[in-house]
Amino acid sequence: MKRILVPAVLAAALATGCAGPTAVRGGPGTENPNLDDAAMSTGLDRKDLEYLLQENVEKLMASRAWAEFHNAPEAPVVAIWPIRNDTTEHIENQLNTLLATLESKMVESGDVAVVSRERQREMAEEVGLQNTNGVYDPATVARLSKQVGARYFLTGKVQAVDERMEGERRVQYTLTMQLIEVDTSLIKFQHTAARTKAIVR
Amino acid sequence: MPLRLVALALALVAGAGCATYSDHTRAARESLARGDFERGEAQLNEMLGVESSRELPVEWGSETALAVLERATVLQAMRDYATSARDFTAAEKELELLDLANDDVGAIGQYLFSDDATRYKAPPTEKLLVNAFNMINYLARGDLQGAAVEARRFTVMRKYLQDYFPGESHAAFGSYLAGFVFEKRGEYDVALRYYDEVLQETDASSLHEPIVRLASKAAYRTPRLESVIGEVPAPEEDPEEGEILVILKTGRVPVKEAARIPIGAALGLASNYVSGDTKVLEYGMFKVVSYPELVPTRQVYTGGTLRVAGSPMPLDFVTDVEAEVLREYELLKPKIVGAALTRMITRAVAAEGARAAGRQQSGALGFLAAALVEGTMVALDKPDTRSWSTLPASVHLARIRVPAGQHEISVDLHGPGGSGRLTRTVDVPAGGFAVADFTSLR
Repeated sequence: MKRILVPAVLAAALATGCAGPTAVRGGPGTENPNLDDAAMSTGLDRKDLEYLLQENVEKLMASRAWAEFHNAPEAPVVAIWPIRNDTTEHIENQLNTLLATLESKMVESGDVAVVSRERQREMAEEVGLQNTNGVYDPATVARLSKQVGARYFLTGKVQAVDERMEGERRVQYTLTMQLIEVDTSLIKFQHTAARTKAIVR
Repeated sequence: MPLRLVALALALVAGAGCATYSDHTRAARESLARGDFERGEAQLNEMLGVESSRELPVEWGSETALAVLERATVLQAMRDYATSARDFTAAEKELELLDLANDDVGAIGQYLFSDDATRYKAPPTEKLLVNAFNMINYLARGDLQGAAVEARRFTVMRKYLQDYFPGESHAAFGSYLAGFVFEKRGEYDVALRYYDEVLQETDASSLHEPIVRLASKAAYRTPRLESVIGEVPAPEEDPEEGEILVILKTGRVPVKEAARIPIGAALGLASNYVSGDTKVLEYGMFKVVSYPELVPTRQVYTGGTLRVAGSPMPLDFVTDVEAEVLREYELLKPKIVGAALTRMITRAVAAEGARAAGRQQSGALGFLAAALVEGTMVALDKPDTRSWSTLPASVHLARIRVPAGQHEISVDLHGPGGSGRLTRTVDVPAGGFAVADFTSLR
């Protein structure tokens, strides 16, 4: 025991040796194609958001409501409102990216006419709702959607159940999307996709 | 001759002794004590190895997360809320990973050298306060969405600490701010839950009127809330009015400094937390134990008188952070001293090993070898003085309903170090709110 202590001291001291960090490029076509695959934290990364969005969009486009849009003589006008962040992570920027992707997918489908989000932002600003909770209030959103000529509006929220215990943390995320008819307030489509992130031992 | 050699070796080793975290932050803390925030910020940047606060460090060592937390606090005092929020978030993420990570190498180092060899694990008080302070950064910019994220993180941590560290501090001002956030978001039941948490800790009179107002819009009740609701009739709301949230943070918490106590006293304090045979200590060359002692910071200001447009207004003393830090340290102190004693035993055992090996050649060499091994290990024993040293000692809060428009807010600071005045002009929107945030950091 005594003999191994001194070498152990030196070994522990040497273990503190360091190597500097290096910037790398990742993704398809690079030397690190799987760089995006690793989870770096319990936050939502692009891969998680793509998954949550993709599942919701697939369900939306397979829904009865969407079939009606597809067969309608004229594409109905749809307004897309911000996705509410009810999580324990600062993901507003990621949600804005998500919204842009959602907008692109809906425009590309050709089944609906999408109101410019810039126009919606202006409307919200005009009535003093920018950066307030009002842009998530269903009644307010319905009123504003009507003002921009939309027949339907699409909205959503990300929620999280965040728990910690000794040495571990788990966050269960859900993205719920709703398509609501402006005149009747009827929910024409709703789906929830789930994703869990954790730091485990 | 051997004795001279020993003395020389020990002198060399002692000369190579490493500075502790509190030594590294001393210059910055002294600048803050003089009220020179810019200099304090620059000294923390120097410590972090960055040119300005625009940068986050590239490499994160054992002290980096804590130093970023210190900078976040200084930046908040300087009202650079966006950069402060970025720093708090970065530091929190790192501290969380450190908290959850295994630290086998650190544990070996702790056993042989010092607690300082381990990764920094923030104590419960610091963990809880990170989100509470970061909430201020979002509130001050009117960002209720961002503030709500911090409020939820605060709640997750508070629940975790209640489950695993019952009886630890509860940072009532964090609950106060979280309630304010959800009240302004129109989530009245959630707000009342937070206000009830505040009432568990302190009777913040500035919350009475808001609680009564919310009671007509929300169903959540507890006996504490009921007793406040029964006090006064519900006030009428004027849509042309807004509200000012005043946050005053004064002083700084005590810091950990390297200290020494005789072995006998240390054993009396921490005998339950010592591993190994304490009889070995009789053969050791060193008869004192190095450990981190919490040392009071000289407080210049301990409170203030709030005035709105020159008229005095009540200010609630909501959280005594200094008392929470002290209480937490006193609970941990026996374990800290116990760990230091265990390291002394390890060193004495190692020295005995070296002495036995040296004696095989000569008695003098055995003595020299033992002295060198023990002396080297003593010199490497840095008491772990890491702690959030720029943390304000106390938090005071007030809420004032005012007509929409511009308002002059002033705080006349007072304390053992004299008096001073801080002023702000806030623009309060009708039906909205503005935050007047003051930090003395001394």
